[in-house]
Amino acid sequence: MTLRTCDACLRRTDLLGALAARLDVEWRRRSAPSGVLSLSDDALIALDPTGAAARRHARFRPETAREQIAAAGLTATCRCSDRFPPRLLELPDPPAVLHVAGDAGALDDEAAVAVVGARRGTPYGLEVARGLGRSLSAAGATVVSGLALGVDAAAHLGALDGTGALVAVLAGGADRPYPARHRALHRRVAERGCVVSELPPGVGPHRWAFVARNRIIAGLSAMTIVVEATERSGSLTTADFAVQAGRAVGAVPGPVTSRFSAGANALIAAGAAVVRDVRDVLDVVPDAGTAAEVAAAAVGVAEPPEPELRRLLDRIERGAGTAAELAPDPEAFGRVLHGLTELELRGLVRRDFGGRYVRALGGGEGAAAR
Amino acid sequence: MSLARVNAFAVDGVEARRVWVEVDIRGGLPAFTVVGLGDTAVREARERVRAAIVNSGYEFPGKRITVNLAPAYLRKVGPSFDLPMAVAVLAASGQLPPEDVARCAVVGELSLTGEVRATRGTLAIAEAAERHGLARLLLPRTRAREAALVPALDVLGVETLQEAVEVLRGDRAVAPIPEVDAATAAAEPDDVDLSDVRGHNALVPALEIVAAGGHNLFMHGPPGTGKTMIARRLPSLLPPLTPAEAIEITRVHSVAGMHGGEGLVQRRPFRAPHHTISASGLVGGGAPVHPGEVTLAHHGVLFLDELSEFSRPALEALRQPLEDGRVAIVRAQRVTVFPTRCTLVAASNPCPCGRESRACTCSAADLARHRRRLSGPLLDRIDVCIAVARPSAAAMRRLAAPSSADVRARIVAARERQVARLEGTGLTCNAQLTPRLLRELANATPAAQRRLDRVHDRSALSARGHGRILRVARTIADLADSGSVRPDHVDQAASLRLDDAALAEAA
Repeated sequence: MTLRTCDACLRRTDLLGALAARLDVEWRRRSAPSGVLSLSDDALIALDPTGAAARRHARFRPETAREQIAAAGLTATCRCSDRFPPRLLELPDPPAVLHVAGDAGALDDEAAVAVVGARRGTPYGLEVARGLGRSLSAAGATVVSGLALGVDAAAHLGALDGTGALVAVLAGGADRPYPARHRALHRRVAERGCVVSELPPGVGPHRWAFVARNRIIAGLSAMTIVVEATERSGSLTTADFAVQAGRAVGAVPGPVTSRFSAGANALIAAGAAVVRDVRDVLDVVPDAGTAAEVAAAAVGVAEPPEPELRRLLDRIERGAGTAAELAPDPEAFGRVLHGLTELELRGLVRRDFGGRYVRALGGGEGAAAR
Repeated sequence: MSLARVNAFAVDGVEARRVWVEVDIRGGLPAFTVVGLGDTAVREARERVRAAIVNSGYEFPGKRITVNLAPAYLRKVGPSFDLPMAVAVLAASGQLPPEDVARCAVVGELSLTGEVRATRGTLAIAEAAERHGLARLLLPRTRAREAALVPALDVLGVETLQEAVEVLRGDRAVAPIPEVDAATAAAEPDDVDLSDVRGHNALVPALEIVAAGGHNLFMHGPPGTGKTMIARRLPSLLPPLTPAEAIEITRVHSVAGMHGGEGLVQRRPFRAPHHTISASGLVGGGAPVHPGEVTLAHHGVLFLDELSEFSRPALEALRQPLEDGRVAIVRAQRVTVFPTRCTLVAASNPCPCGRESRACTCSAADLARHRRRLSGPLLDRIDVCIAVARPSAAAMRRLAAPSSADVRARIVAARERQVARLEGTGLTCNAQLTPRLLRELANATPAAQRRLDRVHDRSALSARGHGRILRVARTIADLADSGSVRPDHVDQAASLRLDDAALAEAA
């Protein structure tokens, strides 16, 4: 399987990369992504009064671009190729070229699910994103997200626990991990699927590119799930793109008092599907995963039958997390610690970095096996 | 007689080395020269020695005086050569019979009036004097109790140069070793006791495990929840000092100048350095080489509050000493070794804002940064991690924790079982078990082993994390007087583990 790119698409991509900084200015003026991305090559060149873009455009050699892509360890496909994911062509302004780090086969899943949300997620949002990523992946679904801090990374990390493929869409070059902190995650996603970008290798991230990136996430996915978003969150643009492309949109409900969930709750009020766990997703996109595996993945969500463990779990759900809060006296200590380990082995609680226990979502022992 | 030689000692690390103080007096222009690699304090000794001799009513020879401190390659530091130099000058000038100063070690600083002042490292010097076959040690009287810990030595505690001369000549009886001042003893702060802690009763079993196995502890919790208070009480839970341990602590504290002269140190040290401390402040260093906090905490507890605020180099430097129980400090041509066997207790806020989890306003990025600062080589050495929460009012009202003495009885019993098991390995507690010894000696039942494997697979522990759980489970079994490690011991140990999977993710 070789991916092909045509000269015209490469030329346009090179132009976008060269004008990336200038497009930020133009972006704010036109205030809609299509205002920029639908411009023709000539109109784009006209944005640069210095004429540097025009000269670069005239001198452009597609062979050099192909060599650069190969040198960065990427492959590429363009919208004129039959290997280009057809779902992206349903977008009003599909990317000209898709640069791929990893296995481009991960892009072929027609029933991929996007899990996106706030960079500043709360522990609740991160836990849900992780649980969703894990159970979707355990059900065999391809999980798409943006490798950003917070919810995006949590969804990727959860998906790495399962068996499904992963896709990360970046705002800069696909060879540049962004944010840099997610270097390891970038590598692991590329090993289990692919990292893609519409901009040429080496280009840094710009504001407009994040919104442009969101349209690719929405375009690649059969359903977009917003986990946590404030009312002005960029994740809501992903939902908007999904609606424009005629895809399903879901949102995870949050407390009505939390501003971090205001955007997600507003989506539900506007008619988005309520996503409580992976089964709600499979109701909307039945092809995303198989029910048998989902059943296995959902075992962990069941309540423990033992009354003592159930009481312990109740108290953890209400926010008690340390041994001191859970064990009323030293005599109960050994029993409580034993119960906590039992709950953890069943995937009902998770011991977080400080030693606090928190409720875990989805994934019993089998589902989380690595 | 114009030549004399006196035994003195130079403190080097926690050992003392013999230094000969040789004095030669001959005709010529009056001069007083000191040779033999001394520092400023040693060169300044000339002025103190001259004034002290004259002011004590003896004659300072108006001739050419040369003092040599041998061996010449060893660097001599500090004022402790004042008294030996004065004694040697007096002997060389015929004011003191040379046979009286033979087989006598001399140490002490002089004031201009001839008073003998205290110096550091007395115990190390007394031990070295005995090793070199010397019968007597002449030293400041305030240090006599400390030197008397070496029983074979005849300790001559003096207050003035004149007294020193008379004692050496045999004209005056040696003053008895002073009793510990009752006022000083009363001024000692009361021993902190576990029963002062309220509302943390559930943490007592965890502390018991930490103390019983000698495990290092990590406490995670918001400010003001009692982390420091708990750490401060850990030394009172550790088993009583053995005589050998007490001697080691006394030697170290004396070398560091922290010892007030009250004889043997009876209490396990607790050291809580501020987080701005440098690497050499923590593990030792400087010129002359000075013991660091980890050495001062030898056989006691080293408490690092706000672990994430300590500098990375300082924490990196701490890793090897904690592993080896000793630190070797290499300075141009010399290696100084300090003992560093202590229990590490580290504490940290759960997040930069320090609020409880429900009120926390930190972003994921803040948290990740905070955790990255915490993660690091030091955490490899920590077996037990507990989360400390603010106790509720009801918990505070309930009974206080049991007294340290009650808890300590169980810990001592558990330690005895460990010592019996570890006989012949040179180790004393479970925390020191190497992976190989752990496999040989843990004696886990097959069911416990399966349980451990499940926990391991489930939480993606590293091999090291696997060993840590087994080590702690071994201690829990010792506390329960169980010969084998059973599944419920593994469960308890697993829920006290430090999760390196969560750490790796943050990093």
